[in-house]
Amino acid sequence: MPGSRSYPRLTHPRPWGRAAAFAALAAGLTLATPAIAAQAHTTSTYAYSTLRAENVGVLSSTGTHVGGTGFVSATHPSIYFHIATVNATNGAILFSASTNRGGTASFTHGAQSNTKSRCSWSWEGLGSASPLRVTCTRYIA
Amino acid sequence: MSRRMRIAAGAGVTLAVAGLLTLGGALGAQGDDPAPLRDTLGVLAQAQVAGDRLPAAVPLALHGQGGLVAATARSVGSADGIRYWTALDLRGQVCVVAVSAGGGYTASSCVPATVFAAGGVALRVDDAVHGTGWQAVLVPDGSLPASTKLGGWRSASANLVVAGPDVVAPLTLTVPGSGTVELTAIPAG
Repeated sequence: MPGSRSYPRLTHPRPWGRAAAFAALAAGLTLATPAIAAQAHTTSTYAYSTLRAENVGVLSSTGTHVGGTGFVSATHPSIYFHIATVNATNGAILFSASTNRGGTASFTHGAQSNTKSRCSWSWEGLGSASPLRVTCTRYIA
Repeated sequence: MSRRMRIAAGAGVTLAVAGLLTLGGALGAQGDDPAPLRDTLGVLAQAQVAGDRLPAAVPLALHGQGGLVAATARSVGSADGIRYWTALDLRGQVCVVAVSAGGGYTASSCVPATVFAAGGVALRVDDAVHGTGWQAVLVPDGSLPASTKLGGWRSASANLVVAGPDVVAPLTLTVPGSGTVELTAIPAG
């Protein structure tokens, strides 16, 4: 059944997830920090076209965060997307907002210091001709 | 009609037209077909009252694609200290918006109108700072299952179903025009 929960849960960044994120960064991801009102954001865009994928992007260096937002271009019954603020020391999730059908997830919270922003996503059943674009934005105090 | 009354009437008409243009612009933005919303989220067609307005704690620009449209916000219920609204973003996506009672966070999840019409929009928030977490699904009109078939989910209103973070049972909806739709619970991030 599409959407079954047999896939591994992405509770912590895995080495290959970090490697993928860093490889993407090395490949030329554009990082910018334009201001939104009193806050700033950074956006990264990924593209994948595999049958099944699970990825974790560690988007930010250690700092103080007040939320984030993420967008998955495809809509499918079993695309899971998570945008989280995690403890920079141990990776524990402090705040996380998640969706299960693609689309957009956003959250804002009180300032949390010594944190990183992280987005993660997984899906099942998408065809190889279904490129997936993921955009993650972090909000900085 | 006095000059003062004519001015007041004119201002009222202007405000009404501006509101309709704002709503129409949001509905028609970015090419997503808003037509399903007329049949699947009737609360949007009702006049916005004071309780429907999003609190000032919600930073409209930081939610959804391009920001939330304040005039489209409608209250859809509350549960476990969380208040929920639906609103459209600037791309015309349907959003479920949540605000914690203590103001600890605001959260939202948005999908295109056609996706919403076929099975709603779900949101999960885990808040380790305050030791809370929950799941919520904004469902299309008429799709709510009978209370005996909710599993660990609970109905908070005609358009909102909620559950604790540990509920893993799928939510089965009967969506008019789409038939039975099974929504999986969202795993922790």
